[in-house]
Amino acid sequence: MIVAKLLLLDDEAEALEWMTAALTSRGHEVRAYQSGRAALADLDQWRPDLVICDILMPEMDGLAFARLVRAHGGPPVLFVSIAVKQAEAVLAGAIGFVQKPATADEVRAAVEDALQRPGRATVLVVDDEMDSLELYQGYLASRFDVEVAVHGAQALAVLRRKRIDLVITDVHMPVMNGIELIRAMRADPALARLPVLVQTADRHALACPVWRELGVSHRIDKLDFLRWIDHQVAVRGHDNRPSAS
Amino acid sequence: MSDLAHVFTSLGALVFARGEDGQFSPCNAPPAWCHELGREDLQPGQALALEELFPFLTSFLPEAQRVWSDPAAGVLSSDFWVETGAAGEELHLKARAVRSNGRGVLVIVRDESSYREQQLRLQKARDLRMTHDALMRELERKDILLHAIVHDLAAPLHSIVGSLSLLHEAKLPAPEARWITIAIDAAARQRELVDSILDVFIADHDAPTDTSPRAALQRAVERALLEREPVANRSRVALRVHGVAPVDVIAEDTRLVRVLTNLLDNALRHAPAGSAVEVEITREETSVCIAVEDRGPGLSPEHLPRLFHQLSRVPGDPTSHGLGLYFCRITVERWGGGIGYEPREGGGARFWIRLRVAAPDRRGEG
Amino acid sequence: MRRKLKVCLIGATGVGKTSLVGRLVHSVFSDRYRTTIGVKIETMTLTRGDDEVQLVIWDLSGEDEFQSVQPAYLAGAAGYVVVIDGTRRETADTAAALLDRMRPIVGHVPYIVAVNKSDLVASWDLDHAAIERFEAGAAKVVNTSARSGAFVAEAFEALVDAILSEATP
Repeated sequence: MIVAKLLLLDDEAEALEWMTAALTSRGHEVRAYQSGRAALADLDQWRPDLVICDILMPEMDGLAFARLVRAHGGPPVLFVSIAVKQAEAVLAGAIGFVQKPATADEVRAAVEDALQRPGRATVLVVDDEMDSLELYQGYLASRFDVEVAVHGAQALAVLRRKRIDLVITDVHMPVMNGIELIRAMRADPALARLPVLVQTADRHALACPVWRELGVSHRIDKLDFLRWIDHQVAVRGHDNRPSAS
Repeated sequence: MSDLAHVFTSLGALVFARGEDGQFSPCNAPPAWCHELGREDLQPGQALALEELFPFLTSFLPEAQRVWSDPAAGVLSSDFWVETGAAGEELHLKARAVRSNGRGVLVIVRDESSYREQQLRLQKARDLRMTHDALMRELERKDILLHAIVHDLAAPLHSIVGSLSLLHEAKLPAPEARWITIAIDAAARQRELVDSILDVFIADHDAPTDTSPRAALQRAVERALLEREPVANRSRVALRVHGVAPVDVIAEDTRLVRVLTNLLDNALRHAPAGSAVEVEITREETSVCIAVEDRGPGLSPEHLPRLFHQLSRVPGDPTSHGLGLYFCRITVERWGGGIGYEPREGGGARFWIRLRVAAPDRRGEG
Repeated sequence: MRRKLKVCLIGATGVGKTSLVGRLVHSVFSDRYRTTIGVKIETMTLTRGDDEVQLVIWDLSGEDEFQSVQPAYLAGAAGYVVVIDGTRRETADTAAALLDRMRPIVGHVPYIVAVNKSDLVASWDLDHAAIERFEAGAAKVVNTSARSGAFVAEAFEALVDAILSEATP
């Protein structure tokens, strides 16, 4: 079993207390913070193997914190949060997600799982246009491991042999299209909860109500897609400033 | 000519003929409504600047000109406008421009019945729109409130669940261990409740889908059974399926699984160890019936009337909160199906849902 | 000096245009909502300094999915009042869209923005940002209440002042 250095960030003192106890009992070294700013300051001198943080925090939200950590070449992030913002979390640098409320074991298992993974999340991009594939891969490769597929069936094959954290898919593709791919994913218990982003040039498809049923958190116009991704990944101007209440 | 003029007056119309110089002169004696407006002095033949008399016409006359200069044009009608009479009542007037014998003619009538009809229709339509918008705003507020409440409920629960799980690991002696187990189970139910609330309210407020959702029934049943297998094993209850219906039903995949797991949960909670929970699938002409049965105590008659309504907890049963069945009902009903309960012969409960069979899939490659 | 000025009231349905005119001209207010069809024209006289102004007020039917404001009615207007319902955020968007549509037709005549129903404090739905966008173009932005009468006369007086000051002396 791996023993590691962990940075724990949560605005609630009690949560920090019990989670610290749960993790130190397994031999990990834990430093706990209630303030994102204080955590960032210490990260200059201390390099943990994993950052575990909440998302909904008043001083600095977890996604902003993760972006800042990743931007400075910091360790990977595991989110422990009530909010279900998995797609944004992966793009901000998460390699794992635990939904609150969680037991001590659930937190430990997620930490151990995260520690065994490479420091980067894996994104699967599915699109039948080679230009788009190349563009997205090129953009994402600096921060993520990227897998590609040109249609749904190929994507499913990748999903079954490799662990993927986020799927970005087009809608119109030959052999198996985006909707069929997502349905197949949702039918498979192992893939049912995987976050999916849909990007397409088809305005009608974007407006279709089917995405909600399929648990697609975001559907984005192809023309806006890179800008949107960049917004999720890159540190924003106000990330470092105190959040307005 | 003057007979016709009288006819116009008695019809409530005030007719003006347009002269070469662009001024208008009345062709008939002013009808009753002109008296109410204090304009009974209009004399046939006198030239008038019409806009002075009826300010509304400043916007109508330019349009009317087009009709008057085009021999092929028909009649142009204005919108209603309102003038206030001497006694304070509202007069609803309308103007019409028509070309007659090469001359421009303007007719002003008072038309209360047509106005009333139009007004009522628009009033109704607008009132509905306002009510609808107000309801939407209310829902939005409730959603935000609910979200906030659920988050506030879930946050401390994290520390409760977490601390208890640590205590549990400490393996304290009895009776402390027992109290911790009680607390853990309670916290776990709380956690489920928070999930259920979110389920119900998301289901309630979801935009209706225009395309009929379809789901493969067998696959949904299999998934639900798979998800509940661990719980069944722990409770030493067998899960059995009878009957098969390899059809698509009108339902949303993931929600259907949730409905089925809800029913299975209820059954597993009450089934005694060593017994079985049976899932029975019956194909009917245009629908499929899926029943979940257990050999537990069943429900007593006084709980039945409010069974599928929100939060109708079974008193004395600490594990029931009723939200699960409410969620099942609104979900299944949204798909045009039904849900119900029957006591079982020989004891136990039988919950059933009925779903419509989907028409054969006509999609090509989708 | 005596002047005759045409002013129009425009805005989404149900924002209170007719009520504002009712309050201004007849000092009355009714809770009953009767939707306006077509045009309602009222006149009243105000005195501003040396000028005696006869205001011809065109109360137009509201803008919604059932009816659109007819640009022809605005022709010849010396100024106009754009009315917003402070308890319904979307009426501010309608107002902005109307302004965009009407400006090319009406030209650069002064207008004021009346944010009506200011008495309904508990249901107030607008924040500063929503109103900010009107401050640059309007002669004035006023919070009015046709029910209580608050700032109704002031709103129209402000509009008349803006019109008179722009007119060549």
